[in-house]
Amino acid sequence: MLKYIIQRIIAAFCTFVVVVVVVFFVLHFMPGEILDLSPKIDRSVRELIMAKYHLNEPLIVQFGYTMRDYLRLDFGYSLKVRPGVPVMNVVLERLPVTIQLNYFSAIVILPFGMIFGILMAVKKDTIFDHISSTIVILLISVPSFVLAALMQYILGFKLEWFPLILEAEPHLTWTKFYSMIMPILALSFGGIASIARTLRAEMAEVLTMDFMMLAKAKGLTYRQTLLRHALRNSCVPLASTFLYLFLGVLSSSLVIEQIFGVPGLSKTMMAAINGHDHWLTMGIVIFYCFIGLFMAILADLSYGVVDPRIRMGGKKDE
Amino acid sequence: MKKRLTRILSVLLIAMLLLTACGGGGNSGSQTSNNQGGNNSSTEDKTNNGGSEDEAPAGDGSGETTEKVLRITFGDTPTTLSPFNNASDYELVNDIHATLYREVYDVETQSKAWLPCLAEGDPVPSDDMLTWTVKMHEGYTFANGDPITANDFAYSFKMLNDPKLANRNITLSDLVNGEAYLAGECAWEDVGFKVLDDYTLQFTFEKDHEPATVRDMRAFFWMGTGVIHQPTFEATLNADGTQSSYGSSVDTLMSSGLYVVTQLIEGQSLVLERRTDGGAPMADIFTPDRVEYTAVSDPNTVVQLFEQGKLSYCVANQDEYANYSGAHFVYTPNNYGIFLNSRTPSVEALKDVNLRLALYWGLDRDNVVPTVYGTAMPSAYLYMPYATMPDPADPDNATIDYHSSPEAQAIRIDGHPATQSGYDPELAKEYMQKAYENNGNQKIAITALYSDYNDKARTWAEAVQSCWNSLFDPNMFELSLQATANATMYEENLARTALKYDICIAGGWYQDPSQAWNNTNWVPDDSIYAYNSQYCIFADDETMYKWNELFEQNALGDYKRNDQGKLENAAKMEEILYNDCSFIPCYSSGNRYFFADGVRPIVEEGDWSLEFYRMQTIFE
Repeated sequence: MLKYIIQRIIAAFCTFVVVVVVVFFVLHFMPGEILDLSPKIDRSVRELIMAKYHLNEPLIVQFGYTMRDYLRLDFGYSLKVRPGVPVMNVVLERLPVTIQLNYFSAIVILPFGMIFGILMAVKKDTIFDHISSTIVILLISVPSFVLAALMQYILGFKLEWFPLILEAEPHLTWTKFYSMIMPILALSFGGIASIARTLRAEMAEVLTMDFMMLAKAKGLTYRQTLLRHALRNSCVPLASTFLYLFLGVLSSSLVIEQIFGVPGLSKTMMAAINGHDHWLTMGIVIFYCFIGLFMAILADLSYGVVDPRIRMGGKKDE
Repeated sequence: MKKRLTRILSVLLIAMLLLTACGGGGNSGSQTSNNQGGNNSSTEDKTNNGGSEDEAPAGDGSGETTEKVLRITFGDTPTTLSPFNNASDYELVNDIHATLYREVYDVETQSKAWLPCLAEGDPVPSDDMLTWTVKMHEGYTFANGDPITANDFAYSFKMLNDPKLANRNITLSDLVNGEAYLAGECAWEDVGFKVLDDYTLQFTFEKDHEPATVRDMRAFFWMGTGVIHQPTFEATLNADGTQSSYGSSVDTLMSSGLYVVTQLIEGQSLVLERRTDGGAPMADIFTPDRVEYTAVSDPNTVVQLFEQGKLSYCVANQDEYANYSGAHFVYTPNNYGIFLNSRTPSVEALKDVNLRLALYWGLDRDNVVPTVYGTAMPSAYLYMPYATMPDPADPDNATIDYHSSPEAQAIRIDGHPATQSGYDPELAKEYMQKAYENNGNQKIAITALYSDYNDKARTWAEAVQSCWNSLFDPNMFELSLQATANATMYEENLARTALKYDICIAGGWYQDPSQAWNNTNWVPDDSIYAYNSQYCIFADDETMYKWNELFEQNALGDYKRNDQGKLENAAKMEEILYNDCSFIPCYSSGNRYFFADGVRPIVEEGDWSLEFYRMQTIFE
C-alpha cells in the first residue's frame, strides 16, 4: 500500500512538472505582447521594464529564471492584474468566496442528487420516474448560465426575492449567504441531475440482482435492503464523482461569477490570460494542478474503501 | 486498516476544505478601514443618517437624503490604486491621489480644462519654454493630517521614476537627463527637476521635448504624478525595493486627494468617502459625499440593478434600450473603418484611386452602421467628428471644433467637399465606372478579410458587402468575404511589415480628439513618421513624404507653437489622407448611458476620456 502511494506521488510529481513546462511555453507562445505599453512610450522606458522582467532574453533563459524561482517557492508578482502583489496572495484573496460558493453547492448537490436518484430507481417506469427523468435531462442539457440568467431575472429582478448580485461584505454573514442562494442553485442543478441520473441507472440494475432477493429472504425490510445493500453497491461508480465534487469546490464558473458579481478566481484567471499576466496565470494553474493531482491520489485510494474487492498496490495475479 | 484509511481520508478532506473556506484571503483582500484620518465616517454613521442603500437608493428624487451618494458599477475593481502602475482608472486614482493639475469640466468656460489641484496658479515658463516653475498651494494635507509639500511631490516623482521599480507610468524621458537617469548613467540630482523651496518645484526639459503651451505643461501632471505618502509607500516595498504593493488594499495607501478609500473588497466593491477635514483640494468642484463602486461585468445585471434603483447611472448598449428616452452618449476616440491595400499585388484595380473613391462614396454609413452598431456614430471624417484643435486666439485655455473651422471646411476630396455622411451613390457609381474602364473593362472581384471576433464583426462585414454589392453593377464589381483570426489579424495582415490583405473590414485607428492629426506611434528613431502611422499604408511614396513633412512641422518644427499654422497643416494632412483613400472611415463606437432620477450629468454628451465627469455629477 505504502509503495503504491509513493508510486502515485512520484507519478503525480512528474505530471506536475510536465504541466508547468507545457503551460509556460504555451503561454509565452501566445500572440501578443506581455507589456501592453502605449506605442508612444519612450524606448528607454520600455527597455527598462523589459529588462526588469527578463523579457528581452531568450525564452529558454526566461524559463530558467522561472524554474529557479519556483524551486525557491517564489511564484513571483502579478504584473498587470494586481501589479506588485505576490501571485499566491492574489490566488488566496480570491479563493474564499469561490470555496464558500462551491462548498454550499456541494452540500445541496449530494443529498438532493441521491434522494432523486433513489426515488427514480425505486419508482422506475412510473409517471414520477418519467417526469423526473425529463427534468434531469433538461437540467443536464441547459447550461448553468442560462438557468442563472433566468433565475436572476425572475427571482431577483421581477419578484425581488433575492439580491441580484452577491452582497459586498468582507466576511460570510447571513446577508451574504442569502445573496449566495441563487448562484448556489445555479451551480447545483447540473450536479443534482447528473448524480440522480447515474444513481438511478446503477440502483435500478442492483435492485434486480439475486442478492437483493437473498436480503429480502433473510427477513430484512424493504428499506433495509435498499439502504444497506442496494445503495452501497450503487455508489461504487459514484465514488469518484463524489470526490471530484469536492475538488470542484475549489473550481469556479466564469459565467456564474459574471452574472452574479462573484469575485472568484475565474475572473482573475481570465484577466490574467487575456492580459498576458503570465506569472499570475502560471500561479493559478500550478495551484489547481497541485490540488487536482492531490485529489486524484485521494480518489484512487478511496476505491478500496468503498469497494473492498478493489486492492491497491497488490501484485498482479500470476 | 480500512476504517483507519477511511478516517484519514475523511479528516484530510474536511481539514482541507475548512482551512481554505475559512481563510481570510490575506491582508490585501477584503477589508474596511478607518485608519486614514480625514473624514472616515463609518458605515454605521451612513445608516443612521439615512444613507444606506436600502433606505435611500441613489437618485430617488425624494429630496430627503442629505448625503450625496453616487452608486456606479465597473467591470472589476482596479488592478491597483497606485498612480504609478494603474493603466486605466485615471479619474478614480486621482480622486485619491491628487496631482498638481487635474483635468475637469470647467463650468466657467463650459469646456474640459486642466485646473490647479495641488498647484497654485499656472506653471510659469522661462523665455525659451525649457524651464517651468510650479508653485504649490499651501495648506493641503494627506488624509492623516500630514502637510503636502514640494518634498512630498519630489519623493513621489522620484519613486514614480525609480528604475528599480520600473513602473508602468514612468514620466521622465522629456526632462533633462531623464533618459540617462533611467539608464543608470547619472544621479537623480542631475535630472531636470528641482525643489526650490517647500512649495515650489522646477522642471527643465530637453530641447524639442518642452511643452508648447501652458496647457501642455499642465497636462504633464497626469495620473502617474499623483502624490503618495512616503511612510505608507515605504512600508509596501519589498526587501530589495523592486516591488511595491502600494494601492492594493485600504491599508496600503494614503489619500492626498479629496476622497479616502474606506472599503475595498477585491473583485467586488470599492467605497470612497469625501474628506471633510478641509485639507483636500478641489472640494468646491467635486460633488459626491460618497462613491460606491460595484464590480459587475454582465451588462444585463447592470441594467437590472439600475432599474431596481440601485445605481446612479448605467451603460445600456443592448438594442432593447434604443428607443428609451433620456439616453446620453459617449463616443470612443477610435475611427473604425475599412483598410484598402493600395499597393496589393493581388488586385491591380485597388491601385486605382477611382476604385477606392467609389468605395468611399458608396458606403451608406448612416443606414448601415446603426443596424449593426446601435450606439455608434457614423462618420466619413478621417479625423473624429468631435475633433478639436487649440484655439489660435487662446491656445492655453480654449479649443475650437475642428470640422467647423474654415480650414477643415475648405478640404476637397477630388474636388468634392468632405461631409460626415460621406455617401453619394451617383458619385460612387461614376468612380466605379472609371475604375472598371481602367481595369480594361474587366470585372473587379475582391475578397475582403474580416475579424472573427464576434457575431457583430461578421454582421458588419456582411452589411458592408451587401451595401456595395447592391449599389454597384454586379458585372463591374463584386466583394466576397473571408474570416480571419482576430488575435493575429493586426500582426499577420494589417501591420506595415505584413500587408497581407486587399480589403480589411475590421479595425481602425485610435485618435486623440484634441490632436487628431497625430496618429503615429511616435518612434523617434525612424525618420519617416508615416512608417509608424496607424493609417497603415499610403498609395505612393510622394504622398507619404508630403504627409510626413507636414507632420514633422506640426509635431516638432515651426508650427509646434504656431496654432494657426498647426490647424492649417492638420487640414492639409487630412486632405492628403482623403485623396489617398487607403482607409475608409465608417464610425466611432459609443456607449449609451441612462441616469437615475435625482442625478444629472454636468454635460449632455459625454467626453471621450472623462465621460460624464462623474465626480461633478449634479445631485438634484
